[in-house]
Amino acid sequence: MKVVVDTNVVAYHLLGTPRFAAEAAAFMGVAEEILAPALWEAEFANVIRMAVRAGVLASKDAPAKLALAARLGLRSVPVRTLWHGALVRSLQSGVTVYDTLFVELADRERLTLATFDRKLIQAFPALAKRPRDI
Amino acid sequence: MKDTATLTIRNVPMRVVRGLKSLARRRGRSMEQEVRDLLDEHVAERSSVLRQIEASWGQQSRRPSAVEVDSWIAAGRE
Repeated sequence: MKVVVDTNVVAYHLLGTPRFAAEAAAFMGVAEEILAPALWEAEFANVIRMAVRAGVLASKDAPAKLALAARLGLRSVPVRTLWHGALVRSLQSGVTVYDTLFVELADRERLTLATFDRKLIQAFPALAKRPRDI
Repeated sequence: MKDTATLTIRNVPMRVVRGLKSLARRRGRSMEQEVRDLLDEHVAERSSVLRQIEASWGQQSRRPSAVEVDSWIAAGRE
């Protein structure tokens, strides 16, 4: 299965978010080829920073989370190749460009976007789905 | 039960085939053996990283809620 994943799927998985981590892990186990806009790397690194600030994670353990995420093998797609379509989609839908970058990539590649974001799933039901529904 | 199977893979790009042949030559193995080993390593790596991710949850003080993680993602977007 080839898919696009949202940052929240990776973050819930890596941080063991209750009620969602098992679903994310099962999904990552069966997805053979995973794509995301390169933005996911900055977003995920920021989530790890915030987890340290919230006392969830010791700062010494933070780099290991990035290393584990890197080993999941996500293919990062340059934002520049997506930003025009993402902007148009954002202006039409009212959804932020941060989100429409993921939708744009899924649409361009004719793939499904795996996300836990209910608003995104509501706005783009043909493209965005919860991991368990893919 | 037989614990091997035969796979037929169609439409493999020629650049990939050339790369596989070159890798196999360098390592003194057949291309078939090279493909078997690469597939085996890939599957083992994915299983290993999934196990390590699950084990890493135990190194945290707690497992953050979805609301918390969502707010951290949103914070990066402000």
